[in-house]
Amino acid sequence: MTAMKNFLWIIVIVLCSCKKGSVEMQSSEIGIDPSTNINALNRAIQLKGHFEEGTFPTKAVGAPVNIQLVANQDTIEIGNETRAFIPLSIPDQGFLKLCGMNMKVVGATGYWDVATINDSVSSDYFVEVTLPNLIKSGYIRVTFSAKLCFNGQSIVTDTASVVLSVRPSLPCGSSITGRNGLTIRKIDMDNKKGKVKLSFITYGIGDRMDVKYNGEYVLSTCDFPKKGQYPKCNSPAECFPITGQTYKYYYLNYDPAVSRFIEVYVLGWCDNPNTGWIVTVDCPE
Amino acid sequence: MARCLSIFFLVSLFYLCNSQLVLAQKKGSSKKKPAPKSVSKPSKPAAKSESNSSPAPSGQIMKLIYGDVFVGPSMNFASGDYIDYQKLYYGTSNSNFSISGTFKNQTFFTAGAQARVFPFRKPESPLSAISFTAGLSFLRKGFTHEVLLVNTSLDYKDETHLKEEFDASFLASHVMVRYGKRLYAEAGISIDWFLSGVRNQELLRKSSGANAYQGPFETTANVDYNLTTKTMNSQSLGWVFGVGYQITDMFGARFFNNLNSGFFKDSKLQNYQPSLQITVSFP
Repeated sequence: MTAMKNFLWIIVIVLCSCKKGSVEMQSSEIGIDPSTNINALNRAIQLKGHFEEGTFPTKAVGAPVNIQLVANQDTIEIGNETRAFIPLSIPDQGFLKLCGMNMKVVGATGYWDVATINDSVSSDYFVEVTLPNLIKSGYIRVTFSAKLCFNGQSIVTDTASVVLSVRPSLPCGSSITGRNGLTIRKIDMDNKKGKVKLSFITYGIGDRMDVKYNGEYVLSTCDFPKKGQYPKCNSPAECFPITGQTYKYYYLNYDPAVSRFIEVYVLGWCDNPNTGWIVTVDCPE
Repeated sequence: MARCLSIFFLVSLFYLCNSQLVLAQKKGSSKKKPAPKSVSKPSKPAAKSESNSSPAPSGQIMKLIYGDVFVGPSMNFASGDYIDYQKLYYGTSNSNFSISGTFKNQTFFTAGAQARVFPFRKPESPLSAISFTAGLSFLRKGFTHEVLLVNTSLDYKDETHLKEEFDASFLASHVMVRYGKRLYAEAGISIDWFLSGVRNQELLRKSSGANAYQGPFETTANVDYNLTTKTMNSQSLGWVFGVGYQITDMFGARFFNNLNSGFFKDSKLQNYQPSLQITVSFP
């Protein structure tokens, strides 16, 4: 009996020593939750960069020069696994040269020294990011600061923030709606080979749509963006077709053997917040 | 709260066993005489037949109730829609990534105690080999999921490893019917009560190679999520079954299995947990 008693006490001790976590799990779904695991999120964003464990560089207190970094989009709706370009500009750069761009998820530890792509036409800077499937749907606020250099000296700009709204892929036959700003969604086109019809409704104010398939732009309401360029707000007005036509149909050939997904990029007219649009992607026929 | 309840059950079980055993022993040893009406009469041939069966020592009256404790390693095999769905993860549409992953089974330890009642005490009857068992055991269930994402669009090596480990503790209360004395088989149902658990998420990101942007780096992030009844079923009904061999009157070994599909509330995950146990019987 004593042995049994001791045995039961051992079980009681085992029960009492159960491990406890620090954050409550919200869903059993595997992946990184943008709201509860921001440190992993900060490190999981796919981009060309170098991760630094230190403090995020910000403008020094009392810095003699105050240079703004401007995020050209407040919010970007982005589908998992789609490549998003975050447009940034430095209006008062003057003779200073960009020598570094820093990025981090707000609230996380560490930051990225991230590679930028300089747009040859607009002199905007783009940071390319992809949010892999490992990241669950949700909102991610990222902040940027730029390092500007001249004659071996450097200053850091003010910070600029962008909200990335991460959305899962949609099945074909779905409609996407939006307003101004950038929306990037991935559409699962199913297994049937055929022609895909896309309808683009722009209402009264023109918006821009580009479609990527197998990593290439295959459809655009404007000229295809050249290498190193991205669809952007300050494109010529003809990129935003409003000539009395509020909707248009587009077609593309789809083969599941090439890729099962298409990526739809829509740029709502940036200067007019009253814009609205609908893209419907039919299943292949 | 659940933990306190389980401790209470466990301690209660122990005292119940203790008191019942004492009672049974008293009944058995006070008279080497006819047993109560409800129980079969002991007789010489009966005593002989019981000497072949493990729990009742030779020449004694078969006890009404026995207490067992058991302990041993167990392995958890997770399967079901939840796992199948996660495997879709590895099919990436992005030609710039390669994703691979694995699910690994976990090895744990299980322990518990049970009371066994022999309702048919006529030793010559084949029914005397039937006993009913009620008990509690401590179980841990879980699995490990590892994903490796490689960014192939860069001219250097860039890898993201995500490791997720689920480890949940349960108090399983089982009711079984057992047939056989020295060699036996048993089966029944079990209600597994969720006690607590942790989901550990560990991310490792590293870049390497001569072209690594601003040089190679390695960084990690780790978080422990507390599993609660918000996402876990507080209790779930499952099956238990096993076979065992009573080596001596006191010691035995059994292969015991717990099958339960109520793990997550929002997704179907089935856990099959076989365990190899040492049993200690207390007549």
